[in-house]
Amino acid sequence: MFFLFLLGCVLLILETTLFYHLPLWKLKIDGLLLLIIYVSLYLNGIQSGLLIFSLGILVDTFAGSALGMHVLVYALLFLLVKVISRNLVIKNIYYQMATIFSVSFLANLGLLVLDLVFMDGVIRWYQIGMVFLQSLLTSLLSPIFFICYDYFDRLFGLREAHEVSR
Amino acid sequence: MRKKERPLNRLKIFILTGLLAVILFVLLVSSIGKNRDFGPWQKVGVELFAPIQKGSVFIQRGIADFWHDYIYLIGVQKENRSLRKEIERLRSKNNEYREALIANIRLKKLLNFKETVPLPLLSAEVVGYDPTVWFKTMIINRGSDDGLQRGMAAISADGVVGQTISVSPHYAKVLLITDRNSAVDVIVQRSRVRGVLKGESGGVCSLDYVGIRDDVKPGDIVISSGVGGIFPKGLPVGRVIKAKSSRPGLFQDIEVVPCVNISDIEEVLVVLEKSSIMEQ
Repeated sequence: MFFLFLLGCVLLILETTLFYHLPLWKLKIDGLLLLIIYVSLYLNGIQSGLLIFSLGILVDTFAGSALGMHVLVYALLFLLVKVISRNLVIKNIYYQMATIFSVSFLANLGLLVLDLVFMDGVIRWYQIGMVFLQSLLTSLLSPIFFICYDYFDRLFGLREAHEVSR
Repeated sequence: MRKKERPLNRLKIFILTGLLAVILFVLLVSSIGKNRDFGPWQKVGVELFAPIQKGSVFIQRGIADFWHDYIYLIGVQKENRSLRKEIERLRSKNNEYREALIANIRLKKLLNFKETVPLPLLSAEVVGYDPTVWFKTMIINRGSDDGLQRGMAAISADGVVGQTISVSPHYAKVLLITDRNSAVDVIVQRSRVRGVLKGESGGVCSLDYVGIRDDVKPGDIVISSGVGGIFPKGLPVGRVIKAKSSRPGLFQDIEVVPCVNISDIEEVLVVLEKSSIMEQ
């Protein structure tokens, strides 16, 4: 599990430096959110929850101004994905992308709403559009990221270890 | 024993030579000023010899070309390779110099600005940006060990950048003026109208609490008012790009674009002095 945390740290560094300068209009490559979804989909146990919690705190450290916002959203996301994966079979890549789009949309919207609630602001229409586009980008990139995560997962035998422990 | 030459034979030789000389002279004199086309014999001669000349020149040129294109150029490929490497090296060097020149211009501008502001300023480099779409913060390479505290203004030569919101011993997080959680008390430079500049997600800011009768036009420069105790008074903050009072209500709908190009910022100056309001 530690390697996944390290992977999360590497992704965060990339997102705060290299990915920031990519010409994607206002959108960003959110590999970290995809890692959270991957962990929620395929890994189990308290360790996964702890990993998501620690990654959430890490993101809160570097992003935004309120500590705890990402932790809360990631924890809810973890539960939501667990519920979805227990009731639906998400093996097909298209189902996977659709699921990722939905949960990513909810996560981004959640972050936006939480921030607006804390700051007593108003939601503007273009922000909803940005949530949509950001989620679309995340879901489109998900196969590439999931292949990488899967590779690391097999390399370190994490999923098998969890399946055995279950 | 040498045969003795007869005087008659001698005379014949003289006469013949003289005659030949006269004929040649006559020919020469007669050819001057006339057209210089080949005569029939000349033509035959030329037609016979020219192909041989042509062949000879072809072979000669072939040999010369072979010498110049192959034998003489054996080392050229090697030279070409080394020249390409040299070009690459020089290009990279040129890039480095250009980058250094740009950094020099930028830092000189920052230094000049630092000298004009009568406040203790500390330069800092941006080391990271916000990983999310929704928030606008950046990490700088100065922290509490350098004297930074929460709530200090981060500015640049072009204007206000933001304020420090979290500080660690060596790093600090700066909340940019384009973040929705940012609010700066400002004045419109031309008409001295007051308002509060708030960040928006799209990289622009909104100027709130400006009455519908207040004089604000697109192109107006917005400066910090000094109220709030974070930003020194008179620093440029942004430029009005839209001012509409058609919306029902008490206030105008004003959009302001920051003076600082926040997405490209690499260095900032942190104002180390906090006003009494902040300390309270």
